[in-house]
Amino acid sequence: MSSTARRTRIAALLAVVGPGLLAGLSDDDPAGITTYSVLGADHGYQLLWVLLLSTVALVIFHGLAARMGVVTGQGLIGLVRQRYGVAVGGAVLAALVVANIGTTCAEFAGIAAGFELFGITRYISVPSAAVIVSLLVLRGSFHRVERLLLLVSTVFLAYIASGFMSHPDWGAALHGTFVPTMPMTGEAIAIVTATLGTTLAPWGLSFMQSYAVDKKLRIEDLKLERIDVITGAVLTGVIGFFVVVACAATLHRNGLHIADAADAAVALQPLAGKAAGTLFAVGLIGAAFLAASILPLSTAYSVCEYAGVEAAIDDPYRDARTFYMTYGIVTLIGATIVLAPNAPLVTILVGTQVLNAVLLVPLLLAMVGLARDRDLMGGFASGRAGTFVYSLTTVVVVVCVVTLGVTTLLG
Amino acid sequence: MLRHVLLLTGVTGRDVLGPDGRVIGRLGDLTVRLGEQPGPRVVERLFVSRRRTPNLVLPWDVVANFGSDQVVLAIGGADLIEFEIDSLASALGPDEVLLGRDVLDTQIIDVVGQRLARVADVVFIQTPDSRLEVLGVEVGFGGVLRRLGLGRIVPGFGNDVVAWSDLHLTSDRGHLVQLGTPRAAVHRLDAAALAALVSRVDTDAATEILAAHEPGMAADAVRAAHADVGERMLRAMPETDAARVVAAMPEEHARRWSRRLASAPALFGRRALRSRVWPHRRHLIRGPRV
Repeated sequence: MSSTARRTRIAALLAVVGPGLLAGLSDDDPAGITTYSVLGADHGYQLLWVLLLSTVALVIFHGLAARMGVVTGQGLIGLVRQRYGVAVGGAVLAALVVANIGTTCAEFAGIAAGFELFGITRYISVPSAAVIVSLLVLRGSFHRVERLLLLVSTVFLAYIASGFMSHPDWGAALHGTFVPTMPMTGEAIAIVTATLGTTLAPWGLSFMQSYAVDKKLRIEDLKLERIDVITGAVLTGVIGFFVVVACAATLHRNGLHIADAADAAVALQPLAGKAAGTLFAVGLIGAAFLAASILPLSTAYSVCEYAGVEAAIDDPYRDARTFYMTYGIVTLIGATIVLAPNAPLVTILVGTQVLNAVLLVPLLLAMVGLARDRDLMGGFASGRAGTFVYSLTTVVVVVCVVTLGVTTLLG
Repeated sequence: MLRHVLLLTGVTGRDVLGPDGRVIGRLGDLTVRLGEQPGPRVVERLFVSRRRTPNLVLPWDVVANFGSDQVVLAIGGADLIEFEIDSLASALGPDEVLLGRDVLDTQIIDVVGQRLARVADVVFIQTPDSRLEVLGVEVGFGGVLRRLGLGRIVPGFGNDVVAWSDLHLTSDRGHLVQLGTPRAAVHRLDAAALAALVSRVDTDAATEILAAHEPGMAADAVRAAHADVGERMLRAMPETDAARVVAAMPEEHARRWSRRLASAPALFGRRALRSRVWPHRRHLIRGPRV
């Protein structure tokens, strides 16, 4: 390949990347990091194979979301309304909005916990973060927003560094990744299902598709977009791997248990050094900031698609009031709940996790149905083999979600 | 005489009866032709879904009475066999679209109001000879709330109807059929309006719209559009088509565009410009309240 052709191809790839990386990496939000930390602290390297499984599920469904967005030129909720009517679309949207607000709370709670590790009160960190993410989307152009969010994503490197500093047993880590074994305890089942549930999230799927539409990707871009999706999903899995490894090499080896990611950052300091704990905390803040930007954005896209109101990040406020109002309201509610002194934050976070898991089921079923629809997808409709893979993945997720639901409800 | 206004979501799902009063099936959808016939756009055929027997696509002529809660046919029994279909795709005429499948809940371009909107309902009026004439489509959230049964609970969303003659369908079939219909709204646009339209639809649909116009008009539209949008269109076209459009530009513009296309772009002209180029307007059609 000549250098000019190589440069053109790299330029083409750089023009396409974004949706897969952002949708994938934002799945590694504080809820995800907490789940991975608990997975590593409680079970060591043994359950690392779950990350491999969730990465495969992420590649399959984020790839499908991107393809549907590119082929139909519409976001997921808009397509659900078109294909299944206003009642089904409205029910899915309502559940998505509630779940997204709850998840936004979780992201702001992550920002609060992360900054409190550095002695900064949540009454400064949370409002500041809310203002920054709002200004970022309200004032920034599409490409500026995208570049800034991708820049924020580099903070995930902190987890990789933190993992190396913990001096893990790489042989045991590789064995745990590729040789699945499962302790048949309720606790282990719950953490396995929670890992799958936090990685493949409804808001991530809807964001992926809407963002591919907003970016005006074309059918010719699909090959390169697949690279973007796979890269995003693999990085998501790799970061999860290093979080688990860091906690397995330190907390698990010393028999320590943790409740959340902030606990993990504190517990890491005496075991792996202050730098490892600090990097872990920085990663938590960055992850929460990225997801706190993506969640309201995903909600705003979905509301506008359902309502039939035109919206894009590049639109000024006067042309896309519904879009920006939705973004602002979701951000405001999320931040306010975290700051409210007597808000039942734990109940909200657990309820959100369950709602996200439950919502995933109809959303995946709808996606399988939409992918098969030749009227919508034309020559890009999924054939028998594709439908089998999507259905199989959906069945695995459904089994996990049902198990998660049962274990959550039974405590 | 006061003529009745009907909505697609109000008429589909009605029982379809034979002349003997027995239920034949349910009204699943209605078709219209987007072709060249003069006069108002009337419903051409009815799609009737049946259980355990093949579905039907019936011409309007066989409707004896289009009542408020049921449709009565003038024929039944063995006379229906010739209208049975194996698949909808093969039953539709080349310029025929299904209002439920290809229009309802899909996105449309309102070429006069200059916006992208989603169809909440299709609005008909009953003609003196009892046919259904398509007036236009209702857009906006008011129609959605009404369909959800929340119209009275959440008031404040008015009716907003786009005349049938002023819209461009973006559903796969609707888009293609309208492109092939010279009288369709998309072919009556001037360069500025065409530029605004191609800025809003996805890139592939936009290039198809430009390809359906003469190179001179396509060139004017590219020049009228935002430079990034124009570049995105030209790069998406087959090279020969893009060269024809550039060649149709005034000499100085053609030179500039040729230079621009020859250089490798950092972002491939992908600017997410959708509604910035057009102001938002609402326009209510005067007539009976929907």
